[in-house]
Amino acid sequence: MKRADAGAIYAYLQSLEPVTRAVAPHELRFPYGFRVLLWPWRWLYFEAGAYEPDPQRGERWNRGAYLVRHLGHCGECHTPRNWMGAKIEARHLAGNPDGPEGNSVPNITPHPEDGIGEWSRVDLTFFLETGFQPDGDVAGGGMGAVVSDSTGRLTAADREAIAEYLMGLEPLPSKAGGE
Amino acid sequence: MSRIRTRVAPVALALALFAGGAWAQDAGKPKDLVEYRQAVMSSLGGHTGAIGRLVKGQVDADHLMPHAKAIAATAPVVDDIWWENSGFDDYDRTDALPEIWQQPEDFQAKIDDFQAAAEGLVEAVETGERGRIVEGFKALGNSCGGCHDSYRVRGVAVPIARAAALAACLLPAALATPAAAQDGSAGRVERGAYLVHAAGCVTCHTREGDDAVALAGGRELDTPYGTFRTPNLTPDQRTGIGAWSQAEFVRALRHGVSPAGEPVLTRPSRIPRTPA
Repeated sequence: MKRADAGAIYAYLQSLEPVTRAVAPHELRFPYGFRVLLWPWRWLYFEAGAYEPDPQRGERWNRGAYLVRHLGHCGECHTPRNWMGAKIEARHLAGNPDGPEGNSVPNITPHPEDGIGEWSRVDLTFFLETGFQPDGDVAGGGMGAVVSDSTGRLTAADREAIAEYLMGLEPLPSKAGGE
Repeated sequence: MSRIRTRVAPVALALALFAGGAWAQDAGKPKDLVEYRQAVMSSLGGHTGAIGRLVKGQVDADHLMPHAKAIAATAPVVDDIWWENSGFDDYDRTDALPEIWQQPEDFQAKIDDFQAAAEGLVEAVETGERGRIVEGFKALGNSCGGCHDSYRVRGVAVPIARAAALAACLLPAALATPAAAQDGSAGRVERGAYLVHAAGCVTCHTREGDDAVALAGGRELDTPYGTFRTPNLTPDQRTGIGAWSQAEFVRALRHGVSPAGEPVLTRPSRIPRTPA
């Protein structure tokens, strides 16, 4: 995340009305509860620092990549994880059978059968704005919340950027061979 | 007359019978009732799909009003398709959850929302303003999604829907930040508000329940690794991030290290640009 963005988020959070509410600790299964294990995990999977734009790509694609991969972290639900809880980057956004609350989360790469390859760009931006899919059904559950909390509140330009990034992904089938 | 209301209010049911209303069980066989209900729902989905194509400009035709009116005209039917013998126990090819009959008041309130949103869309289409039409359509979508979340199979767990609905209600209040306007940092605060929404902080950092406060944390996230409870992000000195300096906050967010020097599970700040 950009330093200036993290600072702006800090400024906004500090401007909120303070709420005194202690939150009970996590209850994680063995051995995930040992916080010290996060250090090696981070060494393996976490890269700190800023988003570096890809000079080969245009400004809009880079904005989309920043929104999808960094700020919006779509992959936290849409990318499957390994046993250590790390996202499998080779399966970036190709759907996650074990999503939050035990639900399957769809493939959002432009794969024609398994993903959103048949969607037009305006289908995608309109979905991000309203939650309506091309078939007239409405996003429910977690994605319904994401549309009303996040993507529906973005500027049209940011939704276009997300669409540009997603439509440019490698189309991946929902199940990788040998996985 | 609503099936749901009649079910919880025997007096109303008796009145309905007296007035010549059909006995719920006599409307048809479970399979036929379920299939009829699904046909009604599909007709609504057909119209919303058509409206979507018109609003997106994929089809240039002056058809918004007939579709909006068809939804509004069908909305009262949605009040009347929840027969007692049309649940999963009666015919297992229904996606209707038993909670429909267990929480009749909440369910009815959601149907009322849908009817109001359907009428709101007709009014919006009458104005001919695209912005209002999109807003009306979004409101309709929220009412559909809100009910599907709680009462339709595969529509995912109720808590998420509640959190979403609550967050949607609470956010405008959270966005009105009088303190910020006075210290000259309003521009940065406003930008932070946009980023907080873009980043989806609210969805997870707001717990479900009637006493939920946006971003005050406490939401339980059930994962294969156990249950995570999201921290309080409001500036309370003791239980929130009120005592954190900006440098500490930025370090936690970008580098995943808490002020106490412990690792924290933030999302990655940098990921390999090209997935392997």
